[in-house]
Amino acid sequence: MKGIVFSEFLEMVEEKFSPEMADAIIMASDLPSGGAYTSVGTYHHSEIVQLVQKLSDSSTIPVADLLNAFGRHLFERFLVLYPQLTNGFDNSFDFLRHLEDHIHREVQKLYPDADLPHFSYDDGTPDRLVLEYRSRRGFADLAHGLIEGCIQHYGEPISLSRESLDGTVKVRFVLERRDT
Amino acid sequence: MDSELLQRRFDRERAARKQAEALLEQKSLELYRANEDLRKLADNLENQVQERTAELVRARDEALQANRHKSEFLSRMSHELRTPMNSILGFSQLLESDPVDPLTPGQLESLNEITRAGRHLLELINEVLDLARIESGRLNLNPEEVDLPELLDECLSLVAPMAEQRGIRLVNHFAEVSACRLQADPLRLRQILLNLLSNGVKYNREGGLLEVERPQLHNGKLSLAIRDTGLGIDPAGLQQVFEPFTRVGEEHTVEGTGIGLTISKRLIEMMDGEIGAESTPGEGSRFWIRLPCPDDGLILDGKAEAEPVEAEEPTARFRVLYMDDNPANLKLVDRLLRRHGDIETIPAPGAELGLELATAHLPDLILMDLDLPGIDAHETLHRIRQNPGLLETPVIALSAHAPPSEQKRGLEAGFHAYLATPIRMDKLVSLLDELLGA
Repeated sequence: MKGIVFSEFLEMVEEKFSPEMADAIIMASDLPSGGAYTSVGTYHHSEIVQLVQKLSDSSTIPVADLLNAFGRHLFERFLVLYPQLTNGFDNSFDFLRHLEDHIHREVQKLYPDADLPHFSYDDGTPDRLVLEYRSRRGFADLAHGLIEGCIQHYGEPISLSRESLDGTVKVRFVLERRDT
Repeated sequence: MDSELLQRRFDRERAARKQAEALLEQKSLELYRANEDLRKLADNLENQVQERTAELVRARDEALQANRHKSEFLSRMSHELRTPMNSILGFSQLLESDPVDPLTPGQLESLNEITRAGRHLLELINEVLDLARIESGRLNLNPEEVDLPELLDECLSLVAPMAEQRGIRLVNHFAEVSACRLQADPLRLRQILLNLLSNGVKYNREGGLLEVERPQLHNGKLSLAIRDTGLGIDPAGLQQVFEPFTRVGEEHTVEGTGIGLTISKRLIEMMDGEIGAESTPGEGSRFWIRLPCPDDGLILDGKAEAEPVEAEEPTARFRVLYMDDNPANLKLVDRLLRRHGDIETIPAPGAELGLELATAHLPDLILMDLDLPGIDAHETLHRIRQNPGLLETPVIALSAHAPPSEQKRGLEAGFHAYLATPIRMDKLVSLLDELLGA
């Protein structure tokens, strides 16, 4: 998993909780990296699983909620770090439909070793989009938060629901435009 | 925050920095290697391009050289073939009308076949050579102002005897214009017109009509069309008439080389012109050419009626000095001109003797082989002109292989005309008639 996920996560923990909390969850986890992350590095995804679990233990907030919140935070951070991310996309549907063939493809060019999740979507209608998430990592909650971050960014009246097809490894997201 | 926590945080940040530096180092190295590979690839590509270019240049040079060899071979072969044709045709003509020892009708018939086939062969050799020269790009045009009605008249008078033989009436509506001048190579335009006119006679029906239409000037192009009353050509044949060696319909009855129209097409295209044909099978064909012509090049009105063209009758009694070191040619021309009745030949086998004879006899016309040994032909002409009695005497140059540029220089130097050898007697006779003012 790319280092940016780890460094952004720890920064969020320091900001939303405290630097002591960040230090505590690092110390409580068994991390091969020792908790030293650089955004351009690559680390084993089990480290984030441990960190989130320890945060959940300490804060009594469920892992799913923490990951979801982190997803929304991460999307905002992506917009700050990569302002060109949403260039050429006018709305959430447009952006999400090009996630796989445009954004992930560019990421793959920059980081050939990146192991990215897969998104497929149906043709849908102008008011409905069905996205299917697949990843060995099982970060459907993180994906959920990222999609919410995206909807929030475009400020659209869209309701998001999800249906698990295989735990958190394979999940179907349904986006529907609400009447305003 | 306690200092231990800060220390741990500091250690983690430092470890992260070191990781980032190591990564940066690694990526830089990868980038450097990728650049090196790219450079090698580009160098390789450059080398490949250079190699391929060199190969192509070599191939092109070889092709050019092969083409030069082909042209040289054709040129040499044609010369080698024309020299014996000279003797075959010349002595055939002698035999044909030998007053001392006349041939039997059967022998005469055979001889006619020999002469006919010989001329055909000669024409074929000349045209193949022409085409080879055009295709190798060695044929240069010498454009000058051409008086088209005059050139057309000249060509019509050349085909007139053949037309008369077949009872074909020639009508020239072109004569109705008062002036028509344009820039063209007169020698080559003459060749094109002769080709079209002689086709119009050859492929016409007995007693038919060959008509030169009134010219038209449209969009800077002058069109000249020739209409015959022959069998015509079907649409499929019409597409092929300008292809070499395709003779449409009358291969067995009409004599020709099958490349006359091909040559005409190439020549007219070299002059920025066009050539084309229309035909109605059973009624006749119409061949036209279009040539660039200034707006004031054509002045219509003028003469009222189309002139029927008559074959001119040769007359006159004159003395012709003939300078040639080939005794067979001397004998041939001497006998032929003597038989012509009106002309006495003074044979001169060398230039020096020719000059003496010219001074002594003041001939009405001089025929001069350009390849005489000893004095250069231009020098000989110069010396002839030093005699006040020979200032205006027409001098005709004979040559087997004078290129147009040399012919032009010769004409500028004062030769009245060029005749290609082997000499075509009909051409010589009509030229003599013209120059001697019969």
